[in-house]
Amino acid sequence: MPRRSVAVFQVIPAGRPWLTNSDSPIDDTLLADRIRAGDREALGELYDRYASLALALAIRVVTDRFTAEDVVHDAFVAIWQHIDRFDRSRGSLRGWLLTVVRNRAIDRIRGARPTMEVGAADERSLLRTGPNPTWELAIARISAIELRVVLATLPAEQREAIELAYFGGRTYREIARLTGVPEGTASGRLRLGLAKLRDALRVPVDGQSVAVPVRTDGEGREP
Amino acid sequence: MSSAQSDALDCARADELAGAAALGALDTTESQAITQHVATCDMPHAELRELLGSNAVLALALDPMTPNPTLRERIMASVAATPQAHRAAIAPAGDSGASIRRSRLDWSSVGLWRGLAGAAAVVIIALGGWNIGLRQQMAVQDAALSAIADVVIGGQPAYSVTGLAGSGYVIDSDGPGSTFLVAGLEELPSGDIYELWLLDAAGTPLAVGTIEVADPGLAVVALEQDLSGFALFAVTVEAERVDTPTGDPVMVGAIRN
Repeated sequence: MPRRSVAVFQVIPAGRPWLTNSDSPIDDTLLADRIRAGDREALGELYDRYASLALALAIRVVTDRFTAEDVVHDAFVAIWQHIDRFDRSRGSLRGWLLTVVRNRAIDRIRGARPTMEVGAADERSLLRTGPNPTWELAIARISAIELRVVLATLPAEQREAIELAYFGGRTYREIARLTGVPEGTASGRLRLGLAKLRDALRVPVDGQSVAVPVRTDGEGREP
Repeated sequence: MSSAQSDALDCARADELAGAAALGALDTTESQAITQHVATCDMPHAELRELLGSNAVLALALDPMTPNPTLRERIMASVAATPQAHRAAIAPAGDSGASIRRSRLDWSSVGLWRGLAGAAAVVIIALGGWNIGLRQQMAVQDAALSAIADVVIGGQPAYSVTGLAGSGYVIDSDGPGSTFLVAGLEELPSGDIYELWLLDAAGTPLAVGTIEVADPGLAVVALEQDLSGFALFAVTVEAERVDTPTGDPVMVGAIRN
């Protein structure tokens, strides 16, 4: 039978874009579809791809390997359980996973904070997964070392604020107190630091096509 | 800022807090206020929207760390015991399109034998659970089926396909054609059909067959295309055979060529 090629991306009805997303790694898109359909092997594949990164993030936040593995466990189970909340139009499956890991790790170090219910980490992650492709393209484009280099170019006070917020789970008010600056200065440092990071990572866009060199060696971000 | 002030967050304040919002560095009240503001405000808040999503990038600056080997097993065990929220929500309703009720297996059906004659393959039946091994399952079935099962076990690649509609296998073939075997397909509303798809690595679907059944038991379908070059098999429910899927897949399985 002759092969029929169908341009599915434009004709799938809104709300049912289950095939692919040009802004996300195709493998992850398919993986999300399979997980949504109840394929446990797909969840295992997701683990194989990103568990080491998820664990690194969790350890960085909670500083204890045992607790970090609990966080990673809970995050993957949450991904499985609530895959229906994953919206590919807002970002990649990897980005969502890492956000869930980070949020759950933050919840651990904040303790039994009354406003942080068990499911809150996953709900918050939906807000955090933005539609702008800059970050997703950066993930595909650069290595960890290159990203560190970019972070190192930020002014020290902006980098410190970002690390306190992201890895330390501090609010900007807490950062202000910790660093002895007004709250507006602390929130400003976060904003300016992220904006500089975004600008440093931005990939030139030519019309509708974006050429993103994806590494395939050990330093690459693509599994 | 008080809670009352947060609730009345204006555009300038939302923009000021863009970095903190992107990094989750707001307290709960402010976080809710900024979420609500962005959702309802007519202004674009371009920078705020752009900064959202930055957090996953920061994680990539870390060196990956190898988990304890038992962590994967622990996660998979938990997953096996954890129903997915959307499936749990659908199941009790029992009346949502394809998800009405499971059919009982009919090992003696004419369709089964006719299909198996050309299939040279077999499936692990899932009505009683996926932990039942192929040989064990076959041992209680007809000897002829066991013989065919041996062919599969002897080297034919078989790919698990699961989902809301049922469980099955896509069987690769040494020769032309491949086969989809599925057990316990959910009954469809009158007129609807199951449509079968192969997708390549780019996500482009190719229609490779349909199943039109009211009480399918075990269905065996010869695919209209072999599996070479495809990455995914999927099943959708359609009103008629179409060239492009119109809905979410009700079954999905990965193909590893």
